[in-house]
Amino acid sequence: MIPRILVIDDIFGSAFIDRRNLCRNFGLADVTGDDEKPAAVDNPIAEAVFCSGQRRDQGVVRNDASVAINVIAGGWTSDGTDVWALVLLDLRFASGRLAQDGEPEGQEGDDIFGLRVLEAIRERFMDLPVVVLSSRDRSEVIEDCRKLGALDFIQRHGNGSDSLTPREILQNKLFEHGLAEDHRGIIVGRSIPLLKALRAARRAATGRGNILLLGETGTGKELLARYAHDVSPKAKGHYQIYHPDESEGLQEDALFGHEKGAFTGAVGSKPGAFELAMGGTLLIDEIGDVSENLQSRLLRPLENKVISRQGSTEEVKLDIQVVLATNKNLDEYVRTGRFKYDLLNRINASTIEIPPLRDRRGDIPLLSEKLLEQHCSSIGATWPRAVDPAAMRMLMEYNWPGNVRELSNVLRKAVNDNKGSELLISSDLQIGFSSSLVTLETARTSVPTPSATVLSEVDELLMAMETFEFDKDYTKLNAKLPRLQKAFATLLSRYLIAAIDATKKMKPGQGPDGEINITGAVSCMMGKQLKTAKAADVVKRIIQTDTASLEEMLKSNELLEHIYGEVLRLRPKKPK
Amino acid sequence: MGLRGSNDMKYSEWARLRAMLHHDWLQNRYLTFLSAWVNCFDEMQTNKDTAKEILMQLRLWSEKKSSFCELLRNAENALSPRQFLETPPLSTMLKEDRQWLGDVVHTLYCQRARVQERVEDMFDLMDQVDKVITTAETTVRGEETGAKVNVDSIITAVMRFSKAIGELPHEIQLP
Repeated sequence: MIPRILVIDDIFGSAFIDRRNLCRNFGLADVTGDDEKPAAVDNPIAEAVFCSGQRRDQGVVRNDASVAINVIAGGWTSDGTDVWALVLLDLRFASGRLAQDGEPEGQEGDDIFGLRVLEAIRERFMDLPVVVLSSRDRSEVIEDCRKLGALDFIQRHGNGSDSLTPREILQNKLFEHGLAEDHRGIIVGRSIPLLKALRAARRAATGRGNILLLGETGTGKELLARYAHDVSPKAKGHYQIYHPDESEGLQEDALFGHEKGAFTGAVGSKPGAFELAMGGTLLIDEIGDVSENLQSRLLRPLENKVISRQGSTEEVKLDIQVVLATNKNLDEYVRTGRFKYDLLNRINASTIEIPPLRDRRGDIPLLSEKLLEQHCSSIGATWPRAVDPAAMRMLMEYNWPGNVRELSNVLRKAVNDNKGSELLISSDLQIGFSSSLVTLETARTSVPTPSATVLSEVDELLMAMETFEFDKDYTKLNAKLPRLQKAFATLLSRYLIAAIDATKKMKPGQGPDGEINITGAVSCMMGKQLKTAKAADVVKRIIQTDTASLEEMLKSNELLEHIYGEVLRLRPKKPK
Repeated sequence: MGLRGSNDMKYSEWARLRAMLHHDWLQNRYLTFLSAWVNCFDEMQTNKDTAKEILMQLRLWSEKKSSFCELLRNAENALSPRQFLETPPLSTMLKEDRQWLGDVVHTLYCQRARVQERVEDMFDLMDQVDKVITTAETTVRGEETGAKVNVDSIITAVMRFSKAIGELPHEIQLP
């Protein structure tokens, strides 16, 4: 999976020898197809197609920008299924009558014909990265090239820097400017919005600064954070992920660590995520969800890369790259006082927006292929191997509010349910709700409505629950057991609250809250009519975890606290 | 006035020759070839076809040498402000006036731009290129058993020569 580049240069009109030299020099595999003996290059860094940007007719060579534009268009699709990673463009194109040595005599305007081509490229291919391939380095030409959107300059013999080989120089240009796919094959897609996000990550991943990843749920923020680590100078260091899903006190401990005796129960010292990521990258996920207090604590490590463990005054100098991710609108959070302006200021220097799946529909076939393969392999199935064209159209037209994660869930369920079919057809795919199906045109201009998102999240959750399988490594499972029990209790208590809300009796004179009906709600949940005492027992079982978690859960929701009070009144025995 | 036998070449003609020889050939092709050679040098030790290809490309220098000499010989006159007197409006002056004025501006320009000295230096640089390439040709042909071509020394010599040509003025000089 190497990038494909286009070289537009007059000397490649006929002379294969020059082309071979350039390929050897830059480490390119010539895939133009007209050279019978292209240069043999070990581990090429890119595939190259060569084009002269000229017309030859009856011994006369004419410069014609449309020749180059047609070649570009032939290898570039707007949906991103086919794009040039980079164009290397010459500036001087010799034209005119062919002289005795077989070379054109040269004409007025030849010196800057490359600028005309650049202008034409900018008119039609806004996103196409162009690097000027020229030995000329006169400042006025450079200025003109920059004005017309050229990103950089490279010499054919690559002597830009004594310490780098031409191959390394081109590799650097591709890294910085190219619309190149994820070379590891993990982030799947070739759409321009995705390739631009990958490029932004490569540019931001300097190994020093902070990177902020913004994207809707399910877009792959964690994957992009890992990519930023893998392409950074810190790639050989640790990669640590922190999710703020604990209570506030635990959040601080998990990030900063503690010294022995820092608080009751701190029997030994423990490093936090910042220290564990030393020499590498720390991803702080869901930064929009961290408490206000913790936001203040994060200012110093993010600005000065220094922390102190809890219970210690000793400073630890951090050598890490920090990636922060969120699906929240942090600007809005700052306006409403939920997020500190100072913190946003420190983290948004390198902001990368990850495109939602509806903005990169061209990637859906490739993604589906990869996901099918993954899901089949995870359950040891060989079928289904593909999605039929009508079903693929359906996948392409859906709005995907849950993004790649939702697509993955849909395919996982389809694989589970259709192990005997070679092809998945439309009826095998349970996509959201029929009301969420939108036409391609509307989808391009609309964003999902909140209700559609909520419905889809429930749907997504149900699907995840239906298809979820626990890791067979029981040591890992054991370590997660307390959190799993708590999460399960929280889920059931929220289910109970939803059922209570749904079964409220609204009577005149009782205000907008209505009258709660615990027995009715629990009967609704269980799908059969229960007696009051039995319903109370079910409620107790649902929310009965350890005492600390129970108190925390009751404190978090007034209605739940009220229900629990009622249940205890009916069945007084408290849990042990 | 000229060096090693110059003739009259208009600036535009000279500039076109320079673009083709220097930019199109020396920089874009020959230096790219030499740079690529560095990358496939090991291959050349074992591959006769590559050695043949390298030899063929090395020899291109000899084919272009006379054109470079022509370019250098004509540099002084092509860049001289005397050419202004041959195009309107100065070309409407009396012939005798154009003659003496031309000699004056040319002499002044020669003193300031020192093109003659620079061209002499460039002929020396060209001789150095010639020398390293001749040595390399002998080695590639296998006439010196066990000898290795120092491609870097060829690149250095060619780049020095290329730099000097690039530094020659890009427009007719004012006296």
